[in-house]
Amino acid sequence: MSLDLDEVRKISRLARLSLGDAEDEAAMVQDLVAIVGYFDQLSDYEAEPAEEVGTDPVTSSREAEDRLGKCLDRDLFEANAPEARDGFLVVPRITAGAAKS
Amino acid sequence: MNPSLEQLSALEIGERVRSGDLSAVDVWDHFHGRMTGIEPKTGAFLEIYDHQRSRAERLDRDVTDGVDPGPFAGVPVALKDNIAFAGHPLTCASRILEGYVSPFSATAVQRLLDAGAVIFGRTNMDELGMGSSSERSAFQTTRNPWNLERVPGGSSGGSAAAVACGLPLALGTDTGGSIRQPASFCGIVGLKPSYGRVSRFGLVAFASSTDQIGPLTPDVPSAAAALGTMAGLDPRDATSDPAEVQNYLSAVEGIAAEPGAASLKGVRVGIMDQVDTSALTGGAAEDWQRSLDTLRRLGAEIRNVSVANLGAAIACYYVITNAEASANFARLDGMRYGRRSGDAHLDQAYVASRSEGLGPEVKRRILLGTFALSSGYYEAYYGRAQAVRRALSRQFSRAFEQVDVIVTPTSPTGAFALGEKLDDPLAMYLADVFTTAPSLAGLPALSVPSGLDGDGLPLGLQILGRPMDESTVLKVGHAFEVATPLPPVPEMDGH
Repeated sequence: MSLDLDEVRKISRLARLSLGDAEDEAAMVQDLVAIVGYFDQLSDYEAEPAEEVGTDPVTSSREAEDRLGKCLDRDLFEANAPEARDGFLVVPRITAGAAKS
Repeated sequence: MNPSLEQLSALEIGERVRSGDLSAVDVWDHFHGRMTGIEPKTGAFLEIYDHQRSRAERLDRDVTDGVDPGPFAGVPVALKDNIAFAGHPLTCASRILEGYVSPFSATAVQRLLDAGAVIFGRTNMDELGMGSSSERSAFQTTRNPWNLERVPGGSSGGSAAAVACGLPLALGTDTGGSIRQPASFCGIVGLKPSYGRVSRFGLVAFASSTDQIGPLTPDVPSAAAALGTMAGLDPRDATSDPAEVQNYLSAVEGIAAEPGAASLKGVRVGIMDQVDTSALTGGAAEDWQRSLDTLRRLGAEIRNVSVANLGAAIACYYVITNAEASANFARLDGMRYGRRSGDAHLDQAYVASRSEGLGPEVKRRILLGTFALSSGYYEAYYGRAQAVRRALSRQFSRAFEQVDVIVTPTSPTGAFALGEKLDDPLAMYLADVFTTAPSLAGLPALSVPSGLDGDGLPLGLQILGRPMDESTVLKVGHAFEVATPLPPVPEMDGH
């Protein structure tokens, strides 16, 4: 296990989160190192290999019937959107050239 | 005002309203007056729905017109702020969902509405369900009605505080103890149903393999009644279970009439060898022994059972649920709903929206989950935790071949002081030592008040059962509560 500042920065990019200033970053690394260190005890306990998919009573689920149903009303959906226009959601520019640092 | 209303159970209120003996509006006005009066001290509610009085008026008209509103007629029900109620805000106590209005109601809520309930308001919680003290709310701190300098527990702390203040029913959600621990801290009853027993449709998903909606109530029969109304297959939740819904009320009937020696005769109660009683502090160890004595006195046979992976439950739980949370909460990006920050570029807006909208505990857990799922660590953490979880479930199954229920303390301590554990997240996690294991195994788990700690604050006994056997859990819980009356919550000034 090699959780350090570089690794935590990489994880935060994957999670699309900013950790804040250097002090906040250091505190987060300290917390995560302690917690992940606690997780390492998992190797001390009995483990059972995965069963065939769908046989685990806790995590298995049924498939929904494949048929058309009523969708959420568009007006209700738009009402919660940060920005909507002409029946579409408006999002920030996605082309790379417009990126700001 | 009707001063006796707090003495009535939810079902008694419903029965009187549907028979015309009691007005739903009088019920509403009584609880509205009481809860708004107490609210400045406890901070249990993010919002009390004043406008819902009109529903109480409509229910009274229905009764007059000969229409039966159902068994929960006029019963005020508080909802944790992660359970959807159509047309009402749903924020999970997070800035990132501030302003979001739910377009639909949760199945559990709709079933209570169909039974005549009146939604009273939405209660405070730890942001997105992540916390054990309700101090992680982005909006306010909820205080324990037994002692305003102590936490109410979490994450369903607002719902627990509201019931401790007299409300007959609140819904909470439980991922690893979030109904049971606040119920214990606030001296009330809290039930986490078996995984799949109550539909999760309309519950904002945190960890989809353990989340459940359940009732917080003053007594076990009220929890049984609420579960019976909410439980059952729901085509809108593929993980809801088709098992027949038991008659939970009949399971507890008859117990109250015989509070004496033999109400649990023939019931085999397991205690796990792995429970570390040295972790019980502040009077909790003595309370645990008294609880076992009470069960013996009621005729139960106490047996030792082994669940070897119990000690791994917290690590296992925080790996798996954080991994699920990191996936579930990826959708909180400020694009389709909720708070958006920054508009220069999509990638920048994602990061800004999430970083400004989510609190520190949520960020910490998303990072832990992302770590556990990331390349190079997946097998060592997520894969291993799932394998340990499977072994844990198997160990519980074997234990339940020897006993009908298993009991533990709900929490190793009574309510801790506000701020006491805020700076030490691992210490906060370790307090979930008894509640996470049954969540991982999908078992029904009930917390019932068991006594007071050295500071005069409530403690709880946790009762676990076989999957889908809530009836036995509720029966044992009701027998125990009849034999273990708790003193009333100290009255706050003026209420």
